[in-house]
Amino acid sequence: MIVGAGIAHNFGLASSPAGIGPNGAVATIIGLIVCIIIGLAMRRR
Amino acid sequence: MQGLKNFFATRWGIIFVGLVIGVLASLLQKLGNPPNMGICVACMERDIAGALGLHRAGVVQYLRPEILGFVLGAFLSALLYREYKPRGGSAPFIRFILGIFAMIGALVFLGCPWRTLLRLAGGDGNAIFGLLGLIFGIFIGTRFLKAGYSLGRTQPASSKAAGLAFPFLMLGLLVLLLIDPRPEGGGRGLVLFYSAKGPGSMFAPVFVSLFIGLVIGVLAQRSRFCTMGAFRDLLLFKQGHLFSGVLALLISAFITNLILGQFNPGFEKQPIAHTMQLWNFLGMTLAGLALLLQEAVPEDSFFFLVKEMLMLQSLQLV
Repeated sequence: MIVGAGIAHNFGLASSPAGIGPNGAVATIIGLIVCIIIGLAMRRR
Repeated sequence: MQGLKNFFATRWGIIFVGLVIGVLASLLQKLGNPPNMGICVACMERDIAGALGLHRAGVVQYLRPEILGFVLGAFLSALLYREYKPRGGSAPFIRFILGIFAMIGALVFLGCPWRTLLRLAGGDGNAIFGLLGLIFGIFIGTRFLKAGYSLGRTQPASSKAAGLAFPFLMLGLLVLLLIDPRPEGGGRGLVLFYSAKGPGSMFAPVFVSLFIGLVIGVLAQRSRFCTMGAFRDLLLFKQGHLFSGVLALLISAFITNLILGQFNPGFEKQPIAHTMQLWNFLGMTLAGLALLLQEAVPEDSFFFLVKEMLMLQSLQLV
C-alpha cells in the first residue's frame, strides 16, 4: 500500500480538499474493474 | 495473563478496545495530528511514502511513528503471548495489486476505514458517503466469496525468521526517525523528507505517537479488532462481535471530540476532505472491495486492518 500511495501521488490520483485528483476518477474505475476481474477469476474449482 | 487473554476475546473486550482506540485517536488530534486524522492507516502510510521520497507531494511527508508502533506493538504482543506464527505464500502478487488499488481508492476518498469512522465522529458528513461506499464494496466482496473466490490457504513459513523482516524494517525506520529528526520548519533532513505545511506538518509529539501506536498494536493483536472484518462478519455470517468494537470506536471518538471541542458538523470545508460525493462513495467502494479480496479466507482474519493495509499478509504475524 505504500507503493500504492507513491503511485497515487506521483500520477495525480489522490484527492485534496480541492476535489479529486485529475486522474483519480479513471484510476478508481480501472481499480474497480481489476478487482472484479480478480474476484471472478480467482475462484476455487 | 490467561484471564486477560480471555477478556479480550469477549464482547466486552472488543468494546473496550474500540473505546480506547476512539479516545486515543481523538486525543492524538488534540495533541497535534491533523483534524479527523488521529489515526488513519492510509493517510499515515501516504505520509511515510512521502517521508521516504517515494512520492514528492510536499504537503504529505512525515514518517508517522503510529504505524511503526502498530507493527512493533502487535509483534511484541504476539511474541509475548506465544502467538507468533509467521505464514505466507498465498498469491502474493495478486495481494500486492489489490493493496495498490485499496490505497488508491482510500486516497480518492481521503481516508482508510478507521478515518471514515473518525471523520464521521468529527461531524464530517462527506464520510457518510465514504462509509456507504465501504459497506457496498465489502458487500460485493462477500458475493465473490460466496461464489467461491479464494486466494488459497496461507502456509506456515519454512522458518520462524520469515516473520521478522517486517518488524525489523519498522524498527529500522524508527531508528532513522530518531537520528534524523525534523529540521525547524520542515524540509529535508539527512535523508527523510518533512512537510513545511499541510497535513504532513501536523503531528503529535513523536514519543506520544509512538506510545499510542504501541498500545493500539498490542490491543488489536489481543482482541483481533478489525473494521473490515466487522462488516464482513456482519454481512456474511450475521455475526456482530467485531462490529460492536467498531461502534464503540465511533461513539467514543464522537464523545471525546465533543469534550475537546473537535466536533464540527457539516459537509463544506471539512478538514482534509472534499465534497465530490460520487467519488467519496466509489473511492471507498474500491478500497473495501480490494481489501476484502485480500483477506478472502475468513479464518485467516487477524489484526486485519493494519496487517492487510501494510502488505503484511505475506508474513502474517499471527
